[in-house]
Amino acid sequence: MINLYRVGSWVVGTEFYNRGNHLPDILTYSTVGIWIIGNRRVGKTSLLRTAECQAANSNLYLPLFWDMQGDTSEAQLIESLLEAVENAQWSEVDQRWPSIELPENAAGINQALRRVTAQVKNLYHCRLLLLCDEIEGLNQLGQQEPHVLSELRRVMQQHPAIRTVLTSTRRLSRLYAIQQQQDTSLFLEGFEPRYLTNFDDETANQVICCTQSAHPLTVSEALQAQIRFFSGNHPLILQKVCQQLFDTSIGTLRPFAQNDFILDDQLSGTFQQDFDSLTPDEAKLLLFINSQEISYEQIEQTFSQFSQSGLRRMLHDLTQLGFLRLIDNLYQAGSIPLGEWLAAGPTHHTPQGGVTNRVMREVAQERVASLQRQLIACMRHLGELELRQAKQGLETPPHIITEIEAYKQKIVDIEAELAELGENITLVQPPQSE
Amino acid sequence: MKVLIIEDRRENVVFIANNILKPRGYEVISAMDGPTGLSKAIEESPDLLIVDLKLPGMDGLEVLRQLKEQGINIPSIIMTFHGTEETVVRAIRLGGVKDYLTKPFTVEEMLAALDRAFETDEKLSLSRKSRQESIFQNPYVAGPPIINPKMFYGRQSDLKKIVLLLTHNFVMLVGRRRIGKTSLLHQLVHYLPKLKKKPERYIPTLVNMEGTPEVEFFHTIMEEIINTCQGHLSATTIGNLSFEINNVMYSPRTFSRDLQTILKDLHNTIPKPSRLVLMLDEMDTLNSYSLQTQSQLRRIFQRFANTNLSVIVAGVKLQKHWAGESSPFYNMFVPVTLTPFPESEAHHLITEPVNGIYAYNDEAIYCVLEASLGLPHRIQQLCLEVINHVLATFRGPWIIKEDVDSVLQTIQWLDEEITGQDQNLASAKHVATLEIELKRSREEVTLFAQRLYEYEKAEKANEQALRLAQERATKLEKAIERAKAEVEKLSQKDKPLMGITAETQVDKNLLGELITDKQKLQEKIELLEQEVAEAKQLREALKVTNERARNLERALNHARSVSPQVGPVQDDQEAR
Repeated sequence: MINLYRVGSWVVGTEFYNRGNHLPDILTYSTVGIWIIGNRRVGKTSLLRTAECQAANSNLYLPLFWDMQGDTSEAQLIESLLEAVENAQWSEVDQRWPSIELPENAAGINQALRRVTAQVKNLYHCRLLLLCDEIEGLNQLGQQEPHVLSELRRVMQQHPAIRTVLTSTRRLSRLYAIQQQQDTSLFLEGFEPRYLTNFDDETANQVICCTQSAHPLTVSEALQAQIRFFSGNHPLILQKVCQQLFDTSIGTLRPFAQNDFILDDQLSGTFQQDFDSLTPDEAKLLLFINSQEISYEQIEQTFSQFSQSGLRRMLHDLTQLGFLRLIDNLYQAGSIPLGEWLAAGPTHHTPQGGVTNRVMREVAQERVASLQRQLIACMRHLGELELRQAKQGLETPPHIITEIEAYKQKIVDIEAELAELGENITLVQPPQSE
Repeated sequence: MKVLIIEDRRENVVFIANNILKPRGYEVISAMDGPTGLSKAIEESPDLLIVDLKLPGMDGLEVLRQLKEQGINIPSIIMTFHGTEETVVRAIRLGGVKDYLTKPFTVEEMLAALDRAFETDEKLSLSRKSRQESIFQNPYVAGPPIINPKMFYGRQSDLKKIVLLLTHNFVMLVGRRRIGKTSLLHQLVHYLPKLKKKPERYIPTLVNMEGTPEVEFFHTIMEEIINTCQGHLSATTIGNLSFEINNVMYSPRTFSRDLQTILKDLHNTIPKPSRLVLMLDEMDTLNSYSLQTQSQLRRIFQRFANTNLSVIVAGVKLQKHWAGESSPFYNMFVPVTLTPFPESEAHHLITEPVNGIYAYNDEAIYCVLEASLGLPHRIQQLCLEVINHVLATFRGPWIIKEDVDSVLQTIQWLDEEITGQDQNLASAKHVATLEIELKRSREEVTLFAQRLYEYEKAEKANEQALRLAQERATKLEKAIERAKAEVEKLSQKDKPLMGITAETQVDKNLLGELITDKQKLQEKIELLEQEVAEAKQLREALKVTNERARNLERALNHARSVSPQVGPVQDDQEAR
């Protein structure tokens, strides 16, 4: 029996499971473009590919899936557009594409797109549905060739026969900052931003049981709940866990044991990339929550420098993107592996992108302060308990002795972590000039 | 061919016999316990034994041992449960064991084990025939990858895992240098086309990317694809390709177009569609390429993700670097990490290549295992040197610890530069094991303490109850005595009347009730005494466990101090 779960590559057809209102939004007749924001491996490409299949041969649109991976110049954009049209011609998803001519030798990306659109309009009297994936390269394009970005904005947003759907990670939002230094209209302002979140519980269960496949699996509700909690319904983690638990000899999932799953390089790399897309404040907040369960009040107390609305917005964004989840009014890491990754400590994360040394240092300092508070509290409790032990002597109840041992251990642990953090704070200090 | 199945579960015997052996023409005999199995193995002389390790009367290991003692050497496959690897190793050391299967296993796994059992047996008889010549040969391969499948040992679970993943996923094979990635890819080249039952025919294409200049990257891959697929493609398809052997200026778009043409043709092959399995070895080369090329390659792979193309990339540090804005190249692959061999596989690799020609004693095997740290290339290198040493000294076929020791004094490991890492890894494993044990021990302490607390809470109440019960027992005793006297007195009075009066009967009944009460009380007292004794035992157990936890902590601290670089903050995925 084949392992039905997919890790890494995009899915369509029966392997694609419901993603809320995104598909109807993409397929509806509208002039407004959409920007779908989601973390890596959350299913953006699958959403676009499914939209491509569903819009195929319709009267409203002729869909074109355009993978802009790594395109940072106009020449590269033209090349990838040609490749996209060629792929559409060959893939046979929409039978109309073979009649469209390749816009070879176009003077620019604007002209190339216009040529394709004109043919679509003349031959099929419908609009071109541009499904653009992996568009983060536009950040660099905005810096190096801002006029190309302006042209692209004009044709993507204002051409009456084009509707554009973009998908990217949060990294693309740097484009706002890049363009604000220039005297041009903001590229992203013409698009309605939407978050692509993790699966909801019902969809997650469907994926676990492969309900849309020819051979659905019978998985106990308890195991489903366990997988959902562990993965936080993150599509990649969920499928990875299921793939690992799938037992060919019994044709279904075997019971879940936490030791089964290790935080591999693929997942660590994905977390790192997602983490780097955060702003310094968001990163700081996430590192503070770490693998703990924390109430809003506790967060607010620690981050008193933020306005209430700003803090709530950050928490909302982080929750939407799957970095956090809210269970019983307590915030915690979006999934168990993410919690583990964060708990590995700030020094494990190479400061890249949005996360600076300063943030790392600040977070470490806050942790030190928190640990010191805990240490004082522990010592006070320990003192009280030891006093009771001294008074009661041999009559001391065993639970008091156990508690004393537990506090002693906790103090040792805190001291060890403090020592470690002390070293790490020193490690991330910028070098002193001589 | 006669196969004897020794297994105590009838349904398993029926399953193996009816679904696997009989349809393939094997004659099957069976035994449900150890002693019967042993006698049948002696009397019937089967060609193969399939033995469960856990058997009534005599376990599977003992059956094999007794057969060996009697000089009967029948090739065998052993069946075991997960977590009994130590027993498996002991069974393998007895010799004659060709493979083992962990329950539950599939039909395919049993078939593969049968193939291996008969294949190695055939190889053994051949090698025995030519023993005189073989004794002067050295079969180990140290350095180059293992290309001949007959010389490839271990890694069966990795092979199966990759095959199961192939249809739906792209695979990234990672692992340190010389761990056997290239050898495994070569084995896939042999293994994949033999999978007849799959709905698609696999066409593996292995390309070594080491040192390929960036401009020739796509050209190199396509050249190899065409070489491999030529026999499966129509002349028209080949004619339609834009690829030119002498023109390395081959754009990614043209590559993508040609690949599309080839895949389309392969999809229509008869009698079943073909799947191109593109295996790119030494893909660390990609790290030196521009982000553009990496992105282009990812785009192409993404494009063909749901077609009849499977991709396996292999490298050491493929996923470590990514500076691009868009998705990293590596995150569309399922990582499969090659680790050092487990002991049973390492044992197999040491003994099997020279089975029937040379024999290692247990000490020598331990010595090789210890020095090699389970790294297959080290095992091969060490064993190669050991055989050379034995050949040079013109000794008999027995390899002893001194042979291994003498080689170890002079050996220059081919992976000398990573010896530190190996030791680090071993220390890390040791520390991790101790940490787990310590954690368990602490949990035990907490559990005991909690239980003790409960017991002690109950103990006071028990003591009180015991005291009351004992007091009541004394009172009852007295009451019984009194009642007995009363009954006696009344009986004496009744005697002359030749009957028992109602008064005497009432007293007799009361006496009976009192005796029952006393018995119940006695039982309760025993129970309470038992509980008090248990509490005492628990205290003792808590003391012992606490002591164990302290010892473990000391050991852990020692282990950490011995290898200070192995700490919880070490940023090394492998160590973690």
